[in-house]
Amino acid sequence: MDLHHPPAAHVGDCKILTFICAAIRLYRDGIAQILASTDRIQVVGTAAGPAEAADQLRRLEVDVLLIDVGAVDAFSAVPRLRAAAPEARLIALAVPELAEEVLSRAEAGMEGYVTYDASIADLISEIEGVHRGELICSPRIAGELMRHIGRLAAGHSAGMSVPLTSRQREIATLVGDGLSNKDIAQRLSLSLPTVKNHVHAVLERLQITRRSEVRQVLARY
Amino acid sequence: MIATGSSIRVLLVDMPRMMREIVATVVGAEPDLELVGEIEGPETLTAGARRTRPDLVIAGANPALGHLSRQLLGDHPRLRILEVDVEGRRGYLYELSPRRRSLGELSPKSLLAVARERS
Repeated sequence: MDLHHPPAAHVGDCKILTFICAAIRLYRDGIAQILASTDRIQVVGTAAGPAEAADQLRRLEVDVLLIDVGAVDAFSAVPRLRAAAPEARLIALAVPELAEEVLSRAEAGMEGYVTYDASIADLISEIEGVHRGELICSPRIAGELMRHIGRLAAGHSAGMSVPLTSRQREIATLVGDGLSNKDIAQRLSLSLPTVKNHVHAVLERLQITRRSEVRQVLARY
Repeated sequence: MIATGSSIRVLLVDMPRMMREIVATVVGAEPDLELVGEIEGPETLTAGARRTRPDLVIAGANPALGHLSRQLLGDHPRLRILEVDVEGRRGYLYELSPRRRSLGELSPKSLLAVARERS
């Protein structure tokens, strides 16, 4: 949509730069219009789907990314959006308030969630809260989250460990340092095709398409 | 229904909270549209319409709406009734006259354009 931003000089430094990715136009344009009228939040862009969002996000500075996860493919696209906006905090929109859903989204890298039964005031509090590093949720969800953390600490779940073998991890680190496949082959005394296979596997496991994204993705683990 | 002054009187009925607030904000921001009420549950639509005298009803999707709109339009032939519905990844706008007619994708812009038709 066409967003009329005030000139940069008039935008306060403290505004929360927010991007909206939502399939349903009424929510996308409506939320953008309402947030744009607030003092604390500036809408820097909107997109209907994850692919369009990722394209825009690479060129934008974004604090908070609001994602409509009602669409199934939006969820699988979270790693891609993360890579495109590594500094942004992610808020899921449209999630029903179910502990399991919230937990699975937290593991997918979501920092917050808002349901469509919430009010616009709730959404604004959530954006401000998540921007400060807080999660606003019901006591029941908070309890579930605490128990889940307990289970992770007890080693009953793998949690957010890097999904790479030690060799892949070694190669990923060198890719992240900007080395070419040829450099890596020389450094590790491997053949070039072997390195290519490893790099391919690394990109696949990290769910990214470009080697330039490896460093950002690794930094999250 | 007879409009008071030149503004179009709008009544919102039975929508998910965030959608209702978005529509209320979009309508409320326009000088020629006036939000006269928000009611929950289409069973009170008849009473709500009598009380608020709208020119335009914007309602969330509800199977009872077809029947109710036939009744309402019988009593108030100049009233217009719109239905907003989310199907999968898209929102749609319909007019019940009383037959349900699609007006395309639902957006703040399309909603305002349709609200101003025939006014």
